[in-house]
Amino acid sequence: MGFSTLIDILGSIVVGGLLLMILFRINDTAVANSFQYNGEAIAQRNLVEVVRLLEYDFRKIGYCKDWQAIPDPSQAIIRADSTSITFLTDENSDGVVDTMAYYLGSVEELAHTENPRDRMLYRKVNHQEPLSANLGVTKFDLTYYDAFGAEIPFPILIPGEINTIQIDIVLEDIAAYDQKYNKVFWRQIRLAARNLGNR
Amino acid sequence: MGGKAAILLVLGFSLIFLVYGHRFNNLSTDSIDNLSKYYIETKAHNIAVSAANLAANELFRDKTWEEGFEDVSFDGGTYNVYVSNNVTATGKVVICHIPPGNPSAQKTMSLPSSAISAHLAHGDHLGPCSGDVLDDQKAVIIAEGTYQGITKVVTVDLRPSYFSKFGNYYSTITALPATGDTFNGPFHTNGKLTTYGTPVFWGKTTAKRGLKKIGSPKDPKFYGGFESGVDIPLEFDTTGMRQAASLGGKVFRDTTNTNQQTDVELEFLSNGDIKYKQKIGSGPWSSEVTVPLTTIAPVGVMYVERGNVYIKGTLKGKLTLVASKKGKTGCGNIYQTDDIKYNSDPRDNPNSLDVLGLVAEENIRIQYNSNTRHDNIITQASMFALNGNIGPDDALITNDHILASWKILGGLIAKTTRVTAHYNSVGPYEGYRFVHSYDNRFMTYVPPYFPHTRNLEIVSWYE
Repeated sequence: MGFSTLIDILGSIVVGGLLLMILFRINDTAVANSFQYNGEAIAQRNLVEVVRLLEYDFRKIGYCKDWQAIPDPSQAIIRADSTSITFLTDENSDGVVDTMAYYLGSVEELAHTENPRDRMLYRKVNHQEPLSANLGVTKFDLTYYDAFGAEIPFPILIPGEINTIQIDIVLEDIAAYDQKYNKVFWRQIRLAARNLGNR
Repeated sequence: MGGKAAILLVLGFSLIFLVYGHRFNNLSTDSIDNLSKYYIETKAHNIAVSAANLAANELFRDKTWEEGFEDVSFDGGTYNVYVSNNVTATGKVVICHIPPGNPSAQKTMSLPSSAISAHLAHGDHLGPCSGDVLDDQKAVIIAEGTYQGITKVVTVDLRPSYFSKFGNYYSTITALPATGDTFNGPFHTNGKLTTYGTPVFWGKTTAKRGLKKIGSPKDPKFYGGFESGVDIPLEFDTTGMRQAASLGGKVFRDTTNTNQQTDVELEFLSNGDIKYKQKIGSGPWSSEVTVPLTTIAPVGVMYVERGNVYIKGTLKGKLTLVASKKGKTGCGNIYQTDDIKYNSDPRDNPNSLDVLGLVAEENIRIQYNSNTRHDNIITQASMFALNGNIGPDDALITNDHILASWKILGGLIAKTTRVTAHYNSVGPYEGYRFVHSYDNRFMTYVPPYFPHTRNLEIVSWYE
């Protein structure tokens, strides 16, 4: 084995090592990107699903197939605060009035997830067990406005004053690579449940 | 050997990059597709809402409208509107309309026979949809908005609106709602609503010509919402009530056919009977007759033609009492001579079926007499004064310098407001303190043949 062979071996080791390092780096980047792209897609899908459900339910505040079952729809919102709302509606469009509530759970409930900010968004109908899924909701803010567009300050003592609702939602990944969480934001400006002002 | 390995290495890396790149591209595209689909759905929904609003506007302008709209281009999409209008027309065919692309939004409609074949062609069927109940008092708008192949449906139910639903209605307001005033039930004025200070309106409040706030602070409280531009003229045609009273109720009139004034005294008895007597012109009062309300007026309407009515007592049953003027001066008034109460108070018994409507072509007055003066007065009824106002006689506004309360359960619908007391800087000091509660049953329940408004109102909006 001559000197040049030794140089070849050493050179191969250096080049091979560099290639390996590049490979590891690529792998790391690929995993990070994969988390990033997958997380973003999942967060956006979750957001759209939550928004679809919220819009579907909130637009029906005060609605009942048997309109006489809610004699005064302007009083259909029973309770309202910044992260929860309870209202009368007809969930199945069967002519029977239902009481529906949306509220945000506590951070401690999801302490076992990687994301320290995610919380459950609950949807409860009548006295049934509340339904929820961990979709990565980190913010669910409700802001209420009266018939003149003025913001109603909390606490809201007379929900009948509510004319429109602003909904802000932020969703994040439940888990992320290197704590880099994707965040998606949605705002419904002035959602007006038409039945509130019908009669 | 080394060259081959290098090529394979490059190809291998390239393949890995291609796979990852493709995957990341797909994920990005998926995210955009997801939002794009939501956007398309939202746009289709907004087109349907716009179409429903346009159709509702047509129905507000003409309550017999039923043409609908067909394939109208709008905001990059199209809309169709179908109208089922049972309010005025008859002889319709009942079908179950199944919106193309959105079968879950099926709805029973009642359409002219000429429109049926087109509906059957797109999958509708004859007869009502399963579980739907036909309502012959209802108009239904079905608005379908389509955008890029997605169809969304908005369904709106409308019905005639009745004046009895108002807690307070005034064509014009002469006494400003002011600090300390509380109004229960829906409130409407067909002029401008001017408020002084911080009056409280618990029901939905509407005004034709907007709102003017004066005083300090200028902060009226509208706890049921406020809407401007709502035109509800105070008008009604008594023909239908006269006809109903003639066919299934009781008409008091000048039987000598000489157009003399006919006055009637009525007392409601808590057992469901009515005691009455009448006087034609300057003649004597007839002898008193006592008869069950369900016998004398099975449909629940009593009509006094060209005369005045004097009433008191405790009502058991449903009745609308009309005093018409028919062109004769001094007629068309209703005088309350003592308390008017329901046998079963709806505040204690929400299922109470005792309902009273008082309809006067001129005024409704609390009469000054030994039963009323100085004492609290109770009125439980929805009161309608077409050309006048509602309140105590002039003498009761002074009330011999005594302050009592006028406790109303129901509604006041009148051309103008009327004072009930004299005020000083503290408040009322003589006359009648106005204590008004709204009878919540009137949101959905109507005294027999009570006047309805000119336009339909939306009772249900499904989107």
